[in-house]
Amino acid sequence: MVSRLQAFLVRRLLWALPVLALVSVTIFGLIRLVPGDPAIVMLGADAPPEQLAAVRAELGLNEPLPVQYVDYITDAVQGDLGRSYVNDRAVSASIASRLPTTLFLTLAGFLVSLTIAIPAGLLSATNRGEWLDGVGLGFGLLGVSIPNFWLGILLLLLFGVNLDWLPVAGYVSPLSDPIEGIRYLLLPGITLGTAMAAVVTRMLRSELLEELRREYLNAVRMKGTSELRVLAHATKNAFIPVVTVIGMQFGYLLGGSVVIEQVFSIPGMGRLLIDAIGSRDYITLQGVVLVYTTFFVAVNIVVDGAYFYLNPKLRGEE
Amino acid sequence: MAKDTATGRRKFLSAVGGAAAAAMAGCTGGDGTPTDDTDVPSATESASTPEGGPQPGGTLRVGFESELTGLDPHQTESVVSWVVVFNVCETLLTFEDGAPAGRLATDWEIGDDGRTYTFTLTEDARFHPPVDRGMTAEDVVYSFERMNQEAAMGADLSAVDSVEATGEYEVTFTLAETFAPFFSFLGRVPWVVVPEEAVEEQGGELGEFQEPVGTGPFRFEEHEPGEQLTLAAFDDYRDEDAPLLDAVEITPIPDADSRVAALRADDVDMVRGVSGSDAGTLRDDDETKLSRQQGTEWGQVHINCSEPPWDEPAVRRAVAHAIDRESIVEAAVSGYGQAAWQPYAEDSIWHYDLGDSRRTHDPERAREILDEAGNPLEGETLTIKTNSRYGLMETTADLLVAQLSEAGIDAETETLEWATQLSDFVGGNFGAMAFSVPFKIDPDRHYFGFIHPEGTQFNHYGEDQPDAERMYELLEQGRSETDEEARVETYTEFEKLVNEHCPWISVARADGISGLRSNVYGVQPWLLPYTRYWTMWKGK
Repeated sequence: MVSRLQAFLVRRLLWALPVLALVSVTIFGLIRLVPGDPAIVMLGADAPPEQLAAVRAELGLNEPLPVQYVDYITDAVQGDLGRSYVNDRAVSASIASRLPTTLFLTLAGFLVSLTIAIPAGLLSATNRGEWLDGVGLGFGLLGVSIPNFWLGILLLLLFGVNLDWLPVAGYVSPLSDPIEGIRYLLLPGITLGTAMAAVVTRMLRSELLEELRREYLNAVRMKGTSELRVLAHATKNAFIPVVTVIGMQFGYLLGGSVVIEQVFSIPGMGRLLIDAIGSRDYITLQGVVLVYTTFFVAVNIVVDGAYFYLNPKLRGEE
Repeated sequence: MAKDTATGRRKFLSAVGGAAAAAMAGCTGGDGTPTDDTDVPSATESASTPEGGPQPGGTLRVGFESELTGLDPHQTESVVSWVVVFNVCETLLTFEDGAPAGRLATDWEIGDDGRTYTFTLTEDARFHPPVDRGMTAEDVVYSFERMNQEAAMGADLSAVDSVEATGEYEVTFTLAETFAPFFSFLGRVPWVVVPEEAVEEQGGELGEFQEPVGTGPFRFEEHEPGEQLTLAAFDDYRDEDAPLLDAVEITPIPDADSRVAALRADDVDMVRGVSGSDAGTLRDDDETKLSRQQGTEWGQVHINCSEPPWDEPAVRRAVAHAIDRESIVEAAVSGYGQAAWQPYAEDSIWHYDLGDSRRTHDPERAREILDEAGNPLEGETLTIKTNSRYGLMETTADLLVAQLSEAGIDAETETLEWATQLSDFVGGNFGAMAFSVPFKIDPDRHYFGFIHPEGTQFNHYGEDQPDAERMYELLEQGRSETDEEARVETYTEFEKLVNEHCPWISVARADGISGLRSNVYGVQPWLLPYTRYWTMWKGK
């Protein structure tokens, strides 16, 4: 069985290569379709034409696009993502210093969402139609409806400014100072995790309700099994599609962190991305989007693998 | 070389001083503390300065509006990076109380021909460790050569023919031709002196000098891009009374709401870039206050005069009468600014009183002008380009469209991303756009690039436009003439022509606002938006 899983993963990995190649071309082309000139953004409106031309030449922007792309991709496969137009820093170094921050933030959001969603989903489903279910459904509705930047600002004003319990802006790595690190990640984590918690709660509730209606559970009950164990059986099966959603949501959290990093002044990949867009720092922008895409593809592969592993039917067909 | 240095110096003092005084108007009282003379109330530190005077020590935590864009002084172009450079490295000149003052230069002589400038340097300036040696004229020559590369600050230096060390502590600049704005240029932040060995140590190339070493009151200590930059007090700084602080920690907090929240939560001591609407909140909070510098930003409606229907002067004149500047100032910056018909305020020598000829808000007059010109806007919809990043520009465009409809003119806004708008501006891809530029000391820096064909000619004011030749001529005179009175006359005539033909329409002068914790003192707003952290201190 493991070998089948291995074969499956190898196939998915091979598929990922053309996906990434296509993505790199698309990013490269799309970024350059966006109007705006990095040299002008760098030097300002009153820079003289000669100075603009000199900077463009220095950045290699005068080369034909295919030449620029080939240069870029040749270096990129060797791990060299180029140097920022803005501050001359190696893009790979910028990403390496910011990626852990974004991953910690995403992880915080992920943990918050599962901590809320799993109990909420279970309680909602097992108390269908009662007030607990109402609370769960209400939370689900609010969670997906409230824009997270707005929720972030509200939390920040309440817990950061009015109550002054938690820091408002910045970031401390949980590796260097676990307590401070968690204090800094708490509000962004809650803000980021709420929407995902809502989605997973609703999904888990509906899957579990469906599962609880299945006939095999009557057979289980007839054997005299306790309701709690019956629920455990149902939950295990209900989780199969939920796992897929959770995995996909992890990817979305990574994207959602862009906004959260802006609101909470967290120096992660998202802010690098936004600054790179604003300054038309093509080279940094390409690198960041490429890393995001790689993560998304990787998460997909892991989710597919998990699904394959959890679902006996899929394994049988293979 | 002129012996009459006093005249040269005095001449210049008054020329720059007028502009400087204008920029400072209403923001600095006689004792150097900010005051406020407009109807917008402002919290000022003079009211709350504790007895006992400045206290040394402590770390000032500052929230910046964006990340630093690199710290090589000779290449970076963003205001936030310049604030850092300004505290670490030093220029030859600066401006004190509205007048030019020496920073690394202690004295200067301007030659009779107006082309040679000789500066005597301080003998007490030392470079920060690890260079740790005295600064000499050779360092000045090296630095100016470094910044005179094409991709650096080259264009500003195009007037300079040569820079020579004419003594251990004496430098002589020779200009190719007389260039009046040269002196005020020397106070610009990128024109700082750095030691060659430190530059070489970091790679030598332009853009690689990311851990700047200078002679300033603070030395660069650490920078984790995106996270924090730390400046530490330079113990061997030649002024023993400065800096007062032990260190300055700078953290980028790009979101404006988060920045204000961080100040209110005491996570930082100072924030830059406070919007007019947030200023009220900080003013009303007992634990925070404001520092306000008037007229740091000049907002206009920029016009491409070669683009129909804007090539028709009557259209531009009508639009100039349709604008209600006061309402824009109120809406865009909550009153923290002034309606303006020119970049220089009333008490600047560069300000010309237009009197009744000033094109004030008068929709009826706008209609008349269009009627007289045979209704060139019949069936036309004007497009005003703008962006959503800068409130002043966005509000100007939005209100202008409404105000134009009052005058019977159809218009719409086109909101672009800032980098796109900037490229359109430089590339001439617009009819009209709401725009703003930072305040500049010398009028040449504002006007030459807008109009003159040898400049960037943003307004595309071609020879077919009324009085174009005369306007070009005046701009050339303004550059080459070194006599102050003659220059004032030149720019007066130029301003009259601008008011008459409206190649652009001036809208407002907006203030630069910083927020402070109430225990932070010693901010000295001056001409330009670069905070001098060395005058600041923290009370209990």
